Amino acid sequence: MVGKIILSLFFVSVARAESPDLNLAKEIILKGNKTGALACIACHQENGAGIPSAGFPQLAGLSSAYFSKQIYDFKNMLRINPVMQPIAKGLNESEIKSLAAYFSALAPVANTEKSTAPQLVEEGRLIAEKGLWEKGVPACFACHGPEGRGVGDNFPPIVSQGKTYLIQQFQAWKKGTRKNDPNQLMKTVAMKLTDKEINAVANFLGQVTMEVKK
Amino acid sequence: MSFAKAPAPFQPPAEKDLPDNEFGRVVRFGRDVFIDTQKNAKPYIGNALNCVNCHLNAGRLVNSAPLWGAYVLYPAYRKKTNKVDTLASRIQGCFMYSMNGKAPAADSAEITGLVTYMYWLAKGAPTGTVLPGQGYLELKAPPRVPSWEAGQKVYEQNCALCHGANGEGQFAEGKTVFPPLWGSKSFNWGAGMHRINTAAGFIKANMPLGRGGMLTEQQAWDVAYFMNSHERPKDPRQTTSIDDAKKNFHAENCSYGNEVGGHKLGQGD
Repeated sequence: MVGKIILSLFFVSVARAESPDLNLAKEIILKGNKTGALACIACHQENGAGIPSAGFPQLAGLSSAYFSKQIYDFKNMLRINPVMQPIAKGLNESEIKSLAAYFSALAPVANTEKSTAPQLVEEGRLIAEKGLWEKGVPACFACHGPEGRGVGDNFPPIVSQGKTYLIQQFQAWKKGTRKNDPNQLMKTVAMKLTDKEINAVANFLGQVTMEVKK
Repeated sequence: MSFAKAPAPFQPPAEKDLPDNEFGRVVRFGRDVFIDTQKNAKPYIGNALNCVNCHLNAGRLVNSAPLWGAYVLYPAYRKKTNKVDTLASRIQGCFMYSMNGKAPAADSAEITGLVTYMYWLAKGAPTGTVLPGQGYLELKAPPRVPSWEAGQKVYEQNCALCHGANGEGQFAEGKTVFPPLWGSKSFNWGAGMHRINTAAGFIKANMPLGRGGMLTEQQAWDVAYFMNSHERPKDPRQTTSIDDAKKNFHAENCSYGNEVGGHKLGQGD
């Protein structure tokens, strides 16, 4: 009898972990939870667009797997961020799964921040489309897919992401405060780029639309 | 104490210097065929690859069979065809084997574009000269005979992230982002890249993308053996048995016709 109860409890918890609960996600996004996660909308907005000027990234359209991995990496200190650390630690497995499903289903939002440096944008475009092979840096789009809209579970979309956030990530890979990139692919790229080149890439990527050209 | 400096690699011209005339238009078309072969040479292709998958940086990169290095070495006698190949007939071979398709006519827009693009990249290169960085790296024989198990381990740790657990590649919006390495959408058993030494040289110099040189030579040999001991599309030269084709066309460092894991390779995928 006791065995049966334990078994059924086990199945209930497995079932919860297996199917994302979008209502639970919505609840956390709007209000946070009681274990330390703040409302996501405070920084990422209800549509998941983030706040580019403040360096809060866009979450809309990230793959579930990528989203979940980032939260676990914040939990495990592979991404050091004073805002996200306590939030990630305050989320449990089924909450993470639910949030990942919710954000991955949102349509990416075009970045409204416009670059005021056309020369930087052009320099960034060349790096994103062709790479900087004299330094062994491949084109951004060689891994992040057509016009940087992302590929599979490991290569997130990088277009329409705010330049402040992008620059911060490159600096974090350089400094080692973000070390969750598979096979150190991004650390390797970041180490090879100058601050000016990073700035150029970030200025360009923020300008690219998320629309798929047919 | 002074060291001899390695000769600077050949520098192809910059794209911004392309003229805006008919010649420039044809060069640009050749470049577009090279970079997006799937879109611009579709009738002649039977897999999911683009030329640029094996000739990185639009065919400019040293140790990645750069086009400027190849241009100055043709026409040439080749054992593979047992005749003198012109640049046009050499590229036709790429379409038949590496692209698992069929050859565009020597005077077609596609071949004309590709030859013109190569000519333009090779501006100023000495004819008939093997330039530094031409072709792929030639590795010394590995310390240990390459093995499936060691190669599989290298593959899982360094390659699967992009090329997929089963070498299937990754695609987005209908475009090939990470090329398939074996199976029905990859190069066939007649392509140069099916040779283990060729693949090992390419991998050592260039893979993982952006981290070329990271793998040891042994790892490059192991993973090249692993990649090239899987089934892929048939060798189009195989008209009778695999054993005949092996004898006639595969006197080289490759797994064609060998039994691997109880499977005789070369049957096609």
